[in-house]
Amino acid sequence: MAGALTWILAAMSWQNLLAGFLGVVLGVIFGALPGFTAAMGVAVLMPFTFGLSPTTGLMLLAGIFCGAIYGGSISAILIGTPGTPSAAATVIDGFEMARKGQAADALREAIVASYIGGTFSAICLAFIAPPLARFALKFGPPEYLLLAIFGLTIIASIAAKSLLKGIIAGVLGLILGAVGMDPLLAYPRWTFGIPSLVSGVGLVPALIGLFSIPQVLSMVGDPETRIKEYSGKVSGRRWPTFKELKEFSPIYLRSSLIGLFIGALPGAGGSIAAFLGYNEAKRFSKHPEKFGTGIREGVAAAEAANNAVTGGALITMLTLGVPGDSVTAIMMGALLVHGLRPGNELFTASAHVIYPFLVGLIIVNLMMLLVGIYAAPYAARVTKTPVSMLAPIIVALCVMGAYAVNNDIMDVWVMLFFGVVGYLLKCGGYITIPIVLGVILGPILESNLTRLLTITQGQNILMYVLSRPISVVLLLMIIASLAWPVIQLRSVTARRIAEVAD
Amino acid sequence: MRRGRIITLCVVIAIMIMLSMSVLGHAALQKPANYPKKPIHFIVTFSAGGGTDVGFRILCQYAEKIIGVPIVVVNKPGGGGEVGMVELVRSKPDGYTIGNFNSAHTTILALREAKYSLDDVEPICLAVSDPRLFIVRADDDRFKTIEDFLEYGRKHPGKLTVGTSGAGTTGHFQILAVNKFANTSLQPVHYGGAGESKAAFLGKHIDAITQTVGEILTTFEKGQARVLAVLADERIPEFPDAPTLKEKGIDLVMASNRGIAAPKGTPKEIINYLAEAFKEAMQDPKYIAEMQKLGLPIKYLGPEEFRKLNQKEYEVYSAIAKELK
Repeated sequence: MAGALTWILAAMSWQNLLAGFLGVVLGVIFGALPGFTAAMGVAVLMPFTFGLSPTTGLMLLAGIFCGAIYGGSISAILIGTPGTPSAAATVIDGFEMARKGQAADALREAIVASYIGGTFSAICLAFIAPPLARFALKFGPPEYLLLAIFGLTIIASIAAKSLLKGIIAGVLGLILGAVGMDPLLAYPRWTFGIPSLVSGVGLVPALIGLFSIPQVLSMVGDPETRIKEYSGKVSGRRWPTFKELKEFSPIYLRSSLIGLFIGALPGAGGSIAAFLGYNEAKRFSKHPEKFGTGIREGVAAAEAANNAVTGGALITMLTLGVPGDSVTAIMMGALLVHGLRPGNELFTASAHVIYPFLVGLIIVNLMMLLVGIYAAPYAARVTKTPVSMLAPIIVALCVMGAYAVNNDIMDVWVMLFFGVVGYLLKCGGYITIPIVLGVILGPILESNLTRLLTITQGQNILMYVLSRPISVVLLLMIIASLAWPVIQLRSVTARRIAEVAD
Repeated sequence: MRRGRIITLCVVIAIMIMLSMSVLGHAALQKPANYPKKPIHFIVTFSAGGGTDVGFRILCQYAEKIIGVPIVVVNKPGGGGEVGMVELVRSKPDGYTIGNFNSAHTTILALREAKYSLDDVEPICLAVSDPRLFIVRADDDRFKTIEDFLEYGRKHPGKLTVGTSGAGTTGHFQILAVNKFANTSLQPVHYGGAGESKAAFLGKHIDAITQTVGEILTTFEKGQARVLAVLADERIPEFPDAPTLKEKGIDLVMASNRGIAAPKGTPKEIINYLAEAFKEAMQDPKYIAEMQKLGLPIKYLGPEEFRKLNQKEYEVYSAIAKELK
C-alpha cells in the first residue's frame, strides 16, 4: 500500500503533470488536424524526452497518444473528416449530429466516451497486462484472417439499405487496398511505375479524400446539406448527466473491452476497434435503424473503442517488447534510450518508473477529459462559419494534411483521387464506409491468408483452423454476424405485421 | 624605423604561426572552400520514429556540432525506401542534400525495377551495421544447434517456418541465401515488420525468426529465445555463445547496413569532408552510449569501402533474387 502511495505521489510531480498536460493539448491539436496523426506527434517530440526523466517523458508521449486519438473525433464531427484514421467510424453518427445542429452534444459525447475508454484501458494495463498479452499472442494467421473477415461483415449491417451497393463499394476498397507490393514475393502491383504506390495506398490520404472532398463538394453545391448552426445552449450542459452515463454504460463497457483487446493485437489498430465497437453497439441496440442518422450512441461506441486501444497497445509493448502500432514503436524507442527494457523486468526492477507512469496514464486521461469538455463549446463554433469560408479552409487543410503524412506530393494526388471516387459514388447512392473497411482490412486479410497458406502447406487448412478454439469462436461470430440482419429484419417485419393485425 | 620593422616582423611571424596552427589543428578535417554555408538536408527514407530515423537523428545532432551548420532531417518514407532514394538522387549534387542508404535500398534494386540505380548514389560512409541472426524459442528442444536447425529444414522441406519483417526485406534474403548455401529448405513467412514477426514467434505460430541484433537485443526476453547463429565475420559480444555461419563452413555474412550517401556528382572534397566529420561524430562517447542503449551496432566505413560493400551486397542479393523469379 505504501508502495502504491509513493507511485501516486511520484506521478503527481509538477514536471509530470505539466508534461502530461502539454502532451494532451498538443495531441488534441495534432489529432484534430486531418493528416497529422498521433504517430507524427509522438515522433516529433520523442527526441525531447531524452533529456527528461523517463516517467515525465513517457507521460508527455502518452498525453499526445491519448489526446490525438480523441482529437480525431473533433474534425470527424465538425467537418466530417476523421482527424486520424481511428476516428473514421465516428464520422458516421458524429457528423450527422453536427448537421442536425447538435455539434456540441456530439463533441461532449466523444470526449466522455474517449475518457471512459482510455481510463478503462489504463486500469486494465495496470492490473491485467501479462495475461492479456499472453492471450493476444495466441492470435495467429487464421485468427487475424477471420478477424478481418468479421470486420468486413460490418458492411452487411452498415449497407442494409442496399446490400449490393455496399458489397460493390467494399470490393472496390479491397481492390484499392491491394495496390502495392504483394505480401509473398514483394512484386509491385498496380503501381503504374510510381514509387510512392509500391508501399500501397496511404490510409490517411485515402480517408481524407474519401470523407472530406465529397463533403465539401456537396456543401458548396447543395445548400440543403449545409451544417446547421449549433442550436443548443453553449453554456448550459457542459457535463453529461448521471442518467446519460448510466444509460450508455453497456456501450461504454462493450466498446472499451473491444478496444482494449484490439489494441493489444499487433498490427490491428484503432480504426478497426472503432468500427467493431460501433457495429456491436448497433447490433445490441433496441433501435439499430437509428444508427447512422446522428445519434449519440454511435459516437460513444466508436470513441470509447478507439481510446481503449491506447492501453491495449501499451500492454503488448511494455510486457512483451512488441509494439502494436507505430506510436508504441516510437515510445519503445524512448524507453530504450533511458536504458529501460520492455518485459517483465520493467514491472519489477523498474517499478519505480513504470508504476508512476501507469498512474500518470490515468491522470493524463483525466486531463484529456477536462481539455475536451472545456474546449468543446468553442470547437463547436466551427459550425457557425459560413460555407463560403469553411469549404476552402477544409480543402486547404486536406491538401496540407495529405502532404504532411509523408512529405510526398503523390499522397495529395491519392487524396484527390479518393475524393473524386468518393463523390461519384455518393452521387450514385453508394456509401463510403465499405470502401474504408476494404482499404483497412484488405491488406490484413491478404497477408494473413498467405501466411496461413505458407504455414499449413500440405495440411488440411479447414482442419487446422477448426483445431484452434479462438478461430472456431471467430468463425461462429462471422456466421452470426451475417445471419443477424436477416433475423432482425424478420422480427421487425413480424412485429409490424402484428401491429397491423392489432 | 627599426622598432617599426621589428613590430612588422613580429606581426608577420604571429600571423604565420596562427595560420600554421589553424591549418595543423584541422589537418584531419579539411573544410572545402565555401562549404557549408547553409543548413544541410538529410533525407531519411523511412518513417519518423523507426530505427533508421532515430539512429540518424542522433548522429546528426553530434555531426552538426562538428560541421557547424544545422542538419535538418526530413522523412520521405514510402515504397520500402524507394521514394526517398529517388528524391535524394534527383537532388542538386552540391553537398546540401544527403540521406541514408540502407541494405533495403540494395535489395530493392536486386528484386525489381526501381527509379534509381547504384550508380546514381555517391556513398559517404557506413554508420550502422547490424548483424543478422537466426533465433529460436529457448524451450524448443528440436534445435540445440544451428546444425540441428538446418538439418531439420533439409528433412522437412517447407515445414520449418521462419518469420521475416516482410517480403523482399534482408531477412527474406537471409533465408533464401541460407537455403542456397546450406542446401536446406526453410520456409519464409512474411510479417509487417519486426514487431509483428516477433509476436508470431513468441505466440508459437512460427518456428524461428530472422532478426538483427538491434531488433532482438532490445526486447530480448531473458530465457525466452536463443540465438542459433550469427551471420557476421566474427562472434559478437552480445551473444558470445552463438557461432557464426562461417565457423560452420557456410560463407555467408549478412547485416542490415545503414550508411549515408549523396547524389552522384557531389564534389569529391565535400564527400571526403562529410565522411571525416561523421567519423568524428561517431567517436563521441555520448553518441556511442546512446546507440548502445538502442542496440544499434556502430560501424564506420569510408566512402570507397562503403561503395565496395554496396556493390558486394548487390551482387549477392541479385544472385538470390534471380532464383526467386
